[in-house]
Order: sequence, then C-alpha cells, then structure tokens
Amino acid sequence: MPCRAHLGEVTARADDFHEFGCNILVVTQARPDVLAGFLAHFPQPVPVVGDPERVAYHAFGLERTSWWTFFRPGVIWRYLKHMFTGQRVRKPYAGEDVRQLGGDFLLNRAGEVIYSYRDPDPTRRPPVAELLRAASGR
Amino acid sequence: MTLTIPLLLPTGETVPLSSFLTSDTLLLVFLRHLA
Repeated sequence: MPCRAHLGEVTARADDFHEFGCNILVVTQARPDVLAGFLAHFPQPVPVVGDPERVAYHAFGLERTSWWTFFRPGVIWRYLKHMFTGQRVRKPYAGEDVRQLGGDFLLNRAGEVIYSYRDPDPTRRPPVAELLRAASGR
Repeated sequence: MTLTIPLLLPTGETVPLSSFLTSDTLLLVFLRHLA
C-alpha cells in the first residue's frame, strides 16, 4: 500500500490509538520547507517530522530496496489494485528517495521498541488493526 | 541512543525523538515518501 494511503488509515484511527495511551509520530524524508508545503495542502491530525538525512530510518534498520523490487509481479499487482480503487500513484517530492523503505514501530516510555514492522517492499504496510492490537498491549 | 535521534519540524527546528514520547507508547510511522 503506498504511503499516503497508509498515513490516511493510521491517522483516521488516531483517537483509537490515543485511547490506548498511544501517540502517533509520522517520520518522512522531507526537508522542512517541503514538509511545510505538504502540510499546508494536506494538514494532518498528528505531528509529522522530517529526516532528510535518514538518520532515524537507519537507526531503525529500514533498508533501501533495489529498482528490481518495483518489477516484482506482486508489487506491480498491488500498485494496480491501488490504482483500480481510484487512488493515484504520485510523483515523489523533492529530495525523497523512492527506494527507501518505510516501517512502523511502537516505543514504550523508556524508548524500547515493543513492536516493529519493516516494509518488505514498497507496497506492503501492516494492517492498522495489527498496530492497534500492539498499542493496546493485547 | 534512539531517543536522541534528531528530527526536523516543518519550521526547521531540530528536536530529539524523546520530545514526542509523552504518552505510554509512541507509534512511529516511517513513510517511504509523501506522495
């Protein structure tokens, strides 16, 4: 699932995460000026920060995939499925490396990682229900 | 070490990851890109 769709799914359930005492922070590769422009057009209900040097991406073990990944049948199929549902595949913003994979992590107050999901390819993200289950501690 | 990772606000200000850890847990969503 492309990133903007995952962002929408997670932020739509922000209240449910808050009920479990869980805040959300979105990390992007965007430079501050790019991020400010994006947020002016697409305000988000949760904080969004930039990591243009990808320090946090590296610290959390998020890898950069190869170009070949985009030609895997499963990846092409998921992009097509996404487009068939009326969603657009948009051009990346300035400075973004499309080969950088994302992921989702849950930290406790001590900063320990208690849940982790590293995207295996550009089209896969964890279901929000799985993230909520992790946040609920069940 | 993770908690000291510097992150940039849209204003250009740099803040550590720890400044967002104000609840029991914090869900970090790393995007591949904004598009």
